[in-house]
Amino acid sequence: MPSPSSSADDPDASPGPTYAAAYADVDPEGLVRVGFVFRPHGVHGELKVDPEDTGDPTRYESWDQVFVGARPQQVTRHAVTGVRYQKTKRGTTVILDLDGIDSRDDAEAITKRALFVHEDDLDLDDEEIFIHDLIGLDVETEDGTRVGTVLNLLELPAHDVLVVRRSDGQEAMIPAVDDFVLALDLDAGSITVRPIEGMID
Amino acid sequence: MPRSLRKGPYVYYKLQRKVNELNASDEKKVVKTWSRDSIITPDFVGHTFAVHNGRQFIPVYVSENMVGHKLGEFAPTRTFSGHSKTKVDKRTRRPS
Repeated sequence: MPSPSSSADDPDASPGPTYAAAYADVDPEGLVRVGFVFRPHGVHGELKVDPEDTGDPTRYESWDQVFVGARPQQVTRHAVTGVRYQKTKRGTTVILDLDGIDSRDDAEAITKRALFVHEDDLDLDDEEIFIHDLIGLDVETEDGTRVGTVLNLLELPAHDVLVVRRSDGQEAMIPAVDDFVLALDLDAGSITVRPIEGMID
Repeated sequence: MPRSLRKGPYVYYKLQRKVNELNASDEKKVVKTWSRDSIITPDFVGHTFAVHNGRQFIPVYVSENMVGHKLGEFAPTRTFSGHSKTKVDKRTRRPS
């Protein structure tokens, strides 16, 4: 009597789905974090999301699909099937209904993860710019003297402040106001500034 | 009890002296100060102060709507961890 063959003996047997196989095939560089899934909501698989504060929490309605994962390299793709908003003490919370997440157990499996959308799905006004696009730009003065590279942008009560890593390794801070920042060219990757005495020394 | 109106707003005298000198010579340069409790007066408008926050000097460009506040209000003393390497939907007004 022939013995039943096990899948371990059969070289053609499928290894079965692994967690890594469920990750979406998407360029992680193109994903932007827009919120954090912090808990399930109800028993039908809805998720409570803490949105990044951009002044427009209702933008979630404009997205057809989102990505959920701990890192941009490890995300799963989900279609958005419903969006609701809830006013709380700490601002507006988004309640998301995603395709494929139908029970509380499913929802719990993807909580404590970040929510991403593709960069192309985000609308920017002409007056706005992403902070991550500023980081790494070259900073130079009007006469072409190189100051350094943008290291960070501090969002302070008075105005934003560009933190610039100078060529000698020291940091300089330049207020991001029109009097000092003259031009911003993302294609060229440079910012032209007009520092006053004592600002970058 | 609020400060007496007779005394006028408090401004550290050395800071006021530097501002007066800048206004008289009509030049712009960053004024370093540790005086976080100095009130911003109308003659500060348009000047940039490097206000110490206990660790470093934070540049504060004074505009009209900051008059009446103290310099320290615009130089937070708590640590900011910085922005993460992951792209985050955080926006700012495009400078210039």
